[in-house]
Amino acid sequence: MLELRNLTKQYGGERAIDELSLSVDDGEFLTILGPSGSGKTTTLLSIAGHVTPTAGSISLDGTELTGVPPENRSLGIVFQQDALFEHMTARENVAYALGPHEGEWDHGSRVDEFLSLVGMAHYGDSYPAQLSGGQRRRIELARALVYEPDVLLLDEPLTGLDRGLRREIRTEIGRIHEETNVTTVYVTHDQAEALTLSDRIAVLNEGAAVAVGTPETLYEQPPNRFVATFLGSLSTIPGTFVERSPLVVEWAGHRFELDAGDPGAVGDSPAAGDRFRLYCRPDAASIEPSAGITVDGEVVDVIHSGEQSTVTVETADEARLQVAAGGFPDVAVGETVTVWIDPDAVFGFAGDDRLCVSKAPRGENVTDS
Amino acid sequence: MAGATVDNHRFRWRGSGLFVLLSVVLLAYLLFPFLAFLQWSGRSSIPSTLSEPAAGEAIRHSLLTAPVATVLAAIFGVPLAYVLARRSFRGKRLVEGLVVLPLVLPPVVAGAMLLTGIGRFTTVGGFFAARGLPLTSSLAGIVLAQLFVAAPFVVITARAGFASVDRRLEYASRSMGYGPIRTFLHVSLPLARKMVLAGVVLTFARAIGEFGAVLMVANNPRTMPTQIWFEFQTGGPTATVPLAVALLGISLFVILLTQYAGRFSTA
Repeated sequence: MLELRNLTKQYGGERAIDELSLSVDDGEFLTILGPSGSGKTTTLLSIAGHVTPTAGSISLDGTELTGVPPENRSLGIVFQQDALFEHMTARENVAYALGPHEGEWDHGSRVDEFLSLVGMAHYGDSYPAQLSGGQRRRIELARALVYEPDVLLLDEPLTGLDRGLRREIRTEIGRIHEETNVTTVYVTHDQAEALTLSDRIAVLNEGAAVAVGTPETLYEQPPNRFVATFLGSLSTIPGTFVERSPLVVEWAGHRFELDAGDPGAVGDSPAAGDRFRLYCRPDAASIEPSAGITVDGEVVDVIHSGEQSTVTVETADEARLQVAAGGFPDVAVGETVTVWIDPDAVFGFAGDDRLCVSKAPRGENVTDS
Repeated sequence: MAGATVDNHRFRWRGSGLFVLLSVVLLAYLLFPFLAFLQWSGRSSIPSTLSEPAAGEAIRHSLLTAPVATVLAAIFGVPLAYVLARRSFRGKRLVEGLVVLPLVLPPVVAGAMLLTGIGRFTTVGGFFAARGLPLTSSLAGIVLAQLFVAAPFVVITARAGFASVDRRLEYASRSMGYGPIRTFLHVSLPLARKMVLAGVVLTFARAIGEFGAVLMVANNPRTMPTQIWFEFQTGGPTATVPLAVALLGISLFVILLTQYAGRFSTA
């Protein structure tokens, strides 16, 4: 198990990492997700030993790593953009990584095995300059894995690849992880990569982990506003605060009863009639008749992206709802549609931040009563 | 579309025409003294002058001292270049300034400074002279003078070379299990080799051609440049031709050889 405890890195007066604590289980695929400047790469370089943390500790299977030079940490690392040795062929690049492991394997067949693992068996004699971006990335993966590191570190490995290749290498990384079961820490700012690949995601903001959880939990029940807006698309619903305990919020004639956990969590500030924002994901809304509450609105935008499209519907109170729809839904801009929303998937935040009040047990239709 | 391409082409041609013109002016100015000088060569007998003992001695001395000074500059200068490219430390600016200083000093001043530091009657010079290794008026002194004025070239050029090597390549090598020295030898040095070699060539060229500092430290034994000065004083410009041509020939040969080696060393 890889463990970071209160890891801090200070550059001058700036804290790139601020008392970060994280643990990664053996064989787990953990993604560190965050906007640029959130300390992701610094964290990764600290784990690898290329950056010396100001305070805190890093341990691997109980052994303290702080102070251990990078060459003695047994970690594989793949960087954002290329870090292949241009003066060596693909095979030499992979073989180079075996250099310090004299006698541990039959080096020749080991290199062949890993070139095959990444689908590059026929490119061993090519120089990096002769390979495409995706092929270079594959060689880098082989090079980082061939010496059986305890942990694989990936620093935005899809940067600089075009869309198709990104998807291809992303799938490849998932497959290789499944085959090798190597403990993996993956750094990215791309939520799609994080949601697709990870066992768990740690969301970083300003050097601190603001949430850690499975992709499903973080997406459906984001523990705070930052995670909610950073991970996935979100519709904001302009609700009105009705009462504190139980927490009831009203919107477009519907009453949402929200579980705020601790009754005191909501605080004293909202008074009846105050604005209280609720949120829902595009896939919790539908323009096809389904279970749930309904609201009418006008289609203001339709974005197609092949297998999936997003319809934006503006309601009478100017809420802009993003609605997930199939490939090419039969609606046009300007048309009035009915949107069905699953009330159980609507959530909000008590106080300014931090506390989750997701999952209304019941969204009652008050207009009919 | 076709018109735009033609216009673009014409613009490029006009632009490069200016570049060619400016380049030719400088090249002509650089070439002119060579041609004028070589005109004199007809009036002197190169082979017979070079076979004189004094000339042969000077050539031997130069061929001995300049490579030694170059190797010393590389042994100590390349690691310094690497440290300057990779590390930040207190007083780094000062070190950087110190490295450039010998370049801006007039060679005569460099020589005078060396004399005050390692002259026969100084503490350091006296120490070595007492043990049979005088640091002035000796081959060792010539090497020291050449090293002083020429070492900055390899430091500055190699530093730029190392700075252009992506740090992540070194990180990758370290994470694979290579220590810092093996990483330097296998990754950083091969990738920066062109600039390092360029620095070595510049250092050699400066070392073998150095006159002022060498003359200050050692009037004797003579190197090619100091022997040329001696010939000039006794025989005028014509007398300098044989050794000057030899110096040019040797320098050109070494420079071409190094460039050739740099092109084909891929490991």
